[in-house]
Amino acid sequence: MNWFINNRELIKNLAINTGTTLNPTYTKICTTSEVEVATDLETKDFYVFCDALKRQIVTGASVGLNGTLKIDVNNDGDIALLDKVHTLIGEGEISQFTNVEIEFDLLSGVNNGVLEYTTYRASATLSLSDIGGNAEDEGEMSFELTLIGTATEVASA
Amino acid sequence: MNSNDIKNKNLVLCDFISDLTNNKYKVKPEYSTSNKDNEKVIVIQEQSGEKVVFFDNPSLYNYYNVEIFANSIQEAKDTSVEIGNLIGKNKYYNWVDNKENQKWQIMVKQFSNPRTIAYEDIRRVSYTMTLQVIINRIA
Repeated sequence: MNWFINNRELIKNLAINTGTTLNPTYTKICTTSEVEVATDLETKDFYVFCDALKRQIVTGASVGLNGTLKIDVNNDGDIALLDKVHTLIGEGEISQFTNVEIEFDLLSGVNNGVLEYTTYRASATLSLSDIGGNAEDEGEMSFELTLIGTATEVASA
Repeated sequence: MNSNDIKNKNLVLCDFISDLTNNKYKVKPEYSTSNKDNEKVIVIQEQSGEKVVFFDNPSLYNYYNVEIFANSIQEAKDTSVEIGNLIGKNKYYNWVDNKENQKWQIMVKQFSNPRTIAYEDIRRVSYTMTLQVIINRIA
């Protein structure tokens, strides 16, 4: 039998560290309207002798999370992302967009009728765009988090 | 899902809505209503809507018209808000069919905003809304 899920159940609890590196506090930026795990593969094409069929090997991959954030001013995580923009504008600093510590749950399966998730923590580079928009729309911005290296598995539940 | 499961979708949704509203209403499909239904009633009936079909899988999405008859317009409105709040949720529901314990999922994708309908002949006002749902047996 089929068991369908919605996107809320595929990836959830995306949070960023609003504490310090030594004492992290992961705050959910749960107002995201959509989050996707994007895997961009780099490939090389090649041919072998005797036929004309193109072959391909994967030489690298970039993993990231993209989504749209509905800005909730009561959410410390949302404000922390805006603070990074303030730092860029006011001080010309860009280092706050690298090594952003994030945490998220990704669906890993189902066991005895209960969905199971793996929680990951990772460092990522942050890219923000489309801040603001039409005057009548709810405030939002797009984000891209690209993982730096491998993530650490925190827990499975 | 077999053909019996497909037929049961409407009944599963009726029982689910009945539990959701704490059994305060008689919840039934349109074909089983009668003129003795003079209490609080919610009528659930499938209506037309675009479906998505996959190879080897049953079609996705059912569209159900929900009509809420309550003792007052405000009560019907409050119930419609409660049902409308299911949007974006994937609910799991245990259901029994001929002594067989089954597990179903009810995923509400969209609903139309509720509006009133006046039935002048029976002098009642109902709230009506349409749910776009995935009702699927998972075990």
